[in-house]
Amino acid sequence: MAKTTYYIPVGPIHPALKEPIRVEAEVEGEKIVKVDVKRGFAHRGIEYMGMKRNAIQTLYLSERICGICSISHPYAFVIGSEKALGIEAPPRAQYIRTIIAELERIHSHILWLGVIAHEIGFDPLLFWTWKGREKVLDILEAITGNRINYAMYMIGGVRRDLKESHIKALRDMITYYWEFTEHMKEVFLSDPVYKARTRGVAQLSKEMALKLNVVGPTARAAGIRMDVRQDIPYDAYADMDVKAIVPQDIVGEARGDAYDITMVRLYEIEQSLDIIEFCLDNLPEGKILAIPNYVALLNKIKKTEGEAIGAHEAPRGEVIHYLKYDGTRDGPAVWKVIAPSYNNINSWAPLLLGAEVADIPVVVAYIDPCMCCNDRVAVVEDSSGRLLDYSYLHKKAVEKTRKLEKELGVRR
Amino acid sequence: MTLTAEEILERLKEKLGDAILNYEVKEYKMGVKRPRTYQEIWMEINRDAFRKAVEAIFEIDYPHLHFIAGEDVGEALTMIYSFGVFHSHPWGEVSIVMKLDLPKSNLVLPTITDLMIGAETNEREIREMLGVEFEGLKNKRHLFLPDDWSEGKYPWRRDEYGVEDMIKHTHKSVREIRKQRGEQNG
Amino acid sequence: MGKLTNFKRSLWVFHASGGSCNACDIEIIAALTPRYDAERFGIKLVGSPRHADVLLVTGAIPRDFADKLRRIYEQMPDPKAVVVIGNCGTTGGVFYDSYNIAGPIDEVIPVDVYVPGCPPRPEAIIDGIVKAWLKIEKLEKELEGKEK
Repeated sequence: MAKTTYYIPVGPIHPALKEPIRVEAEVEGEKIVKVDVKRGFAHRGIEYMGMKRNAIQTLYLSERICGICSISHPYAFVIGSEKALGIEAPPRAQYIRTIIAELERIHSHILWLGVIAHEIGFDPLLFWTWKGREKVLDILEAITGNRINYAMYMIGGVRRDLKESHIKALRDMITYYWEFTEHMKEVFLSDPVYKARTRGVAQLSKEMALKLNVVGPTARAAGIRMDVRQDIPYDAYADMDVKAIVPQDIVGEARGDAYDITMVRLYEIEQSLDIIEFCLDNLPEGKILAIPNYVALLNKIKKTEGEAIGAHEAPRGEVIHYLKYDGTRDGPAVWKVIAPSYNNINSWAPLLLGAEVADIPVVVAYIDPCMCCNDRVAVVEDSSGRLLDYSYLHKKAVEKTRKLEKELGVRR
Repeated sequence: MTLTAEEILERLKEKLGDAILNYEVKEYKMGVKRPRTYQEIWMEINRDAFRKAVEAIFEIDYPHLHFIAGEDVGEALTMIYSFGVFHSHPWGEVSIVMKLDLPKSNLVLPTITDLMIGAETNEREIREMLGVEFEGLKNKRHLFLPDDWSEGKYPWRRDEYGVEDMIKHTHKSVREIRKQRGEQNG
Repeated sequence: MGKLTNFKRSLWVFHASGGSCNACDIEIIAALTPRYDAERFGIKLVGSPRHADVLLVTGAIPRDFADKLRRIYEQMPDPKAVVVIGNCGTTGGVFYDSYNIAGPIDEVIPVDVYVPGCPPRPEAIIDGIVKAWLKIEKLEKELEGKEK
């Protein structure tokens, strides 16, 4: 039989999550032979808009770069701005910022665990993990007033203080999540089918990870000990010694596949709990804003020249903002944003080459892409006239999981 | 083994000599209870020495590319490259920020994708946002902008190649009402 | 708005995200998960617009995406309803004066229900879908009337 290559477009719309993107794959039978990634379905020209607005408007615009990392971009923005403008946030504000950022990491990592479970066909697991995620959202809502998009940070501090009741709720939450994470570890890491379905899938070597410039858990799963909180610490992270979590410290070796990345994310939830606990134990007293009057703040920005890099370790990796204030405007003259997925998506093309069709959802999901919906609706038909859409791919992924279940003799 | 910012700077000076037009080592203090410092190297270099400078950085340590940015400063574009070396060491990462001026008559730079495949994303973005050509860049398709984007329009440019005329004034009705009332736009 | 008169059908929902920040999108998923559990009303997220009664749209709609959104809308069978989730789809929100934005959504496709908020809470999203449900019931009655 002659070999036919089929063309499978994945994207740009799909119900599961995140922003639109398009992956075009050519397949021979089950094997992928050619890949092209098209981004930009979510390009809103945010940097351009930011360079036209004042710094406070831009800060809240940066919050809306991504709703899942809705504290990461403001964090990098305020760190960069404070470095450029020579403002130092009060100690209490620095600790509160760290607490909020770690709360976000917890909710984001649990979200990802649910998504990967869904992608390989364990929907009950998706519902169970997301049920556990509601707890941290409740805490975030109590502290900041919103479940997502918190409007908490300000250049030179935070806008809301932590009350005694919040601290008590946070301590309750820490107890809850120690138990919940223990349970999640058991479910994800000891399950033979989950292991079979993710071991060796989306495997990235250390050299390749460096060359592709990937960041965050993706790089750490490949064994690179990089973590902005450890390499160039800021705020409360500078007071503790954060250590990057890498698989070789947990099981002795790093393979850089989807299983390792699950492990890294699970252990990072525990690390976040430790960090929050440290912050609560050492929370300084005092004010929360360096310059409480926003008009005065904007005036200072208008008169100050300066440029700096602000970096923050978001749940998905390093967020970097380059900011330049030129002393004539009250907003940034140059603003460049690098989000973690910007770099991590580099890994898709090499990882998909040679992989099976049923692995596409896992590869696409494993970096936890943060463009709103790695979305897929296929409008193009393949050469046999069949319509291939995302539900087809998802079905293939689930079929493979079920087959493995049977082979391994697991009964559910 | 990590090197401090001063040691890195010494090595770069050795390799590049006069091509470094200007440099500064910035120091930032972080932490409340146990304040410590880290350093960043900011330097301006001659555009002809760009490739040599990048190679010198790659010799020191395989870096992590932070970002490539650019600013339209009238007659020229200022390109800003930032690399992080010795990442994965606590308090050890040193950012090397390199700036170079490209006159608008000759917006060409050699690619660094042969040293680091991952830089393709950054270079493609700069290419479509500022109109800088990268010699040796293989994939030149649009990355973020639509495929049918009009040629010769670059969103981050502040001259006649900018996109001022393409802006959709989403809240224009509000602006018009204000104008009718004789209010200033605010 | 009136009350739902029957639960004759379950409502299938398709979600298109056009340049949103993800916040609305994860709240939509949150609305389906156990705390809010929209599925107990038969509200189900489906993978293709051809199976859907209701289209949920989020985001400020980048230029590139406007045409794709129209195609999704046209693929849906009648009767159908469109629900916009979030501020940026409703009015443009913070994403104003950009070179790559075609929104708000009602300038691209007809919209029936707006759910403002940045992001709206899952309860508000479920409420929006129920409002769309009422509209679909009404449309269905009209269609039945025509057949008679």
